[in-house]
Amino acid sequence: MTSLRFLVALLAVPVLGAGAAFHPSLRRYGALARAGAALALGTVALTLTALALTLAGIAWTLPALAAPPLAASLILGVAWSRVPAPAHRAFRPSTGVAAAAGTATGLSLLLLAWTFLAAEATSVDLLFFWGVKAARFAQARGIDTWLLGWPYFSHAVPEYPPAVPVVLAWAALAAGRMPWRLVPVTSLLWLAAALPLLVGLLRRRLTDDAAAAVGAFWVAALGASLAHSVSGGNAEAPLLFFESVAVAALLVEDDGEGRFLPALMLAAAALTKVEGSVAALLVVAGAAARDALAGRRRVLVRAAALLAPAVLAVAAWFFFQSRSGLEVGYRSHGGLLTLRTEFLPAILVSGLSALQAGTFGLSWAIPIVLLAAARPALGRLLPALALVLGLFAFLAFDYMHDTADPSERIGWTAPRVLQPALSACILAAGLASLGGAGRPGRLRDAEERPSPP
Amino acid sequence: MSRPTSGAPPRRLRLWLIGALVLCLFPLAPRLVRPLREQLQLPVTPVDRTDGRRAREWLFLDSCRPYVPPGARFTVIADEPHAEMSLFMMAIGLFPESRPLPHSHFLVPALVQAARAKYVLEYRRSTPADPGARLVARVADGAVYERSVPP
Repeated sequence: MTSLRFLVALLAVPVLGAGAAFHPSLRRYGALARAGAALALGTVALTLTALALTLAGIAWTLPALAAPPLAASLILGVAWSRVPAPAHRAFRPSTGVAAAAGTATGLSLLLLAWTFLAAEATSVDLLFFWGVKAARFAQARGIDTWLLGWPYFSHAVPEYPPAVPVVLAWAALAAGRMPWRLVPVTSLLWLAAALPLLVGLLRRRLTDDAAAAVGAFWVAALGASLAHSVSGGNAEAPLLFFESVAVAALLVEDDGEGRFLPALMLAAAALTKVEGSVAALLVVAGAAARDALAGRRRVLVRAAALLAPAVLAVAAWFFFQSRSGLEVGYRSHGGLLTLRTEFLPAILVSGLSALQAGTFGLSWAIPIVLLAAARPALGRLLPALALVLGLFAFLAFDYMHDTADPSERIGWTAPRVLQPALSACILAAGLASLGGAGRPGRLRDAEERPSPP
Repeated sequence: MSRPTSGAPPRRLRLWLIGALVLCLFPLAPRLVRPLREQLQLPVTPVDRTDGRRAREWLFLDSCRPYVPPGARFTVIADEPHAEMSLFMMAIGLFPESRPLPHSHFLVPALVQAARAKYVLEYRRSTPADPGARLVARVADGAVYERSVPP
């Protein structure tokens, strides 16, 4: 029963953010895709509520945590549902493609579920800090600021943003305790939640067949990677969800289109991991560069608006730290410019081996080859390429701050941290090679294409 | 409005689909060569198959839980310093209603902290750290002791 209650509480997070599903930009997508957006809004709203309740000295209860997100969702949902939106178009891939893509998708999810259930890919960080914080927060009925400030808790990276521990603590509150063996399995939910949204977004530039094929490849690649990088129960799967959807939304957007979905996703990413903030900066920079190259208007204003929710989310966490007497901000790995360039060869060698992704590198190689073969206009793919190249650069920069050979640390961190880069690479390659962002002039909304005779 | 596709998928589309199916083989292949019965065994700890040492330490802590009352201060002692550190880290989450105190932290002794602990969980040690402590229970890979400490 504990596990069941925990699972039901996690599945209820989209209910907390249900308002997002009624946003006019999302009503063109199917129910599962809209539930994915609701999951993101639910995560952000729950996290901010958790911070506010703790600051106000109000003990967490399920109703206290749920009420503000539900109220906000209700108000937003009612307001947004009155705004006209594009009609939903049924997803109808051809039979052969549906069979192949469905087989790959189903098999990937099944194998990943098995891997997590069998405790074959549980991140030890779940036991060292992600789950530890959640269990203690649930017990304390609030963010345990005493614990976060305790010098003997420094191993648990207390400055990390709180979304994952808060969401797990919410479910643990409902369950009565942490079902430790189940928590890794919940990583699967984030991967599964991303897929309908990604396919829905891809369909704006690709045929249903093409979107199904890229979606199947994406889930197969990232499923294998999550298992290989032993990411069960840590923050990698939610981060992957948020960043992937943000990148896909920006890749397929029209000129001047509202950016509710990518802005929400980047805010959620920034509340999930420090790397989420880095990704938000990279993706926004990529989108701004793409817009500037395309001669679009109000590039800086739109970039600032896209980044603003992520900045506000991090600011809320830093404000909480400040008001709680905690050290404000994120710890660095050393002096900003104290770089050990002698580690570069080791970083290159270890970094390359981190690209195996559980498939001997095929997950990377196939999209890269298909991307190159498509000879795309790279400028159009900058929201994704900025994340891919930027994450590699950021990691190399970070590893050069180590005081000893970073090979071992690269071995267990790079396969995880590079997963959003792999995701962005697949999405960019899919759009480029299957017709969405190829040579100039080929970027057209699939809905605007004439129907086949 | 749906846009039905006609005819065979183009070559690149087939490549994506074949790629997706090929990628599935990598997690599938190991399952086909290992005995099914072994794979269907439910894990006892969350890290049974990713970190055997942590799994054993987790089991030890879990078996100590019934003997540490809620709210009690306790410490974990192990001869092996890295084991002591990971035991301490895991104990904070596994005993959310109690108060773990480090015996060492990142291999640096924290004896002043540990001295405040009423319960001592000893992992794979042959002799108790405090000879005056009362044995509460012997558990897998260790024992739980209780000692007198100032409130």
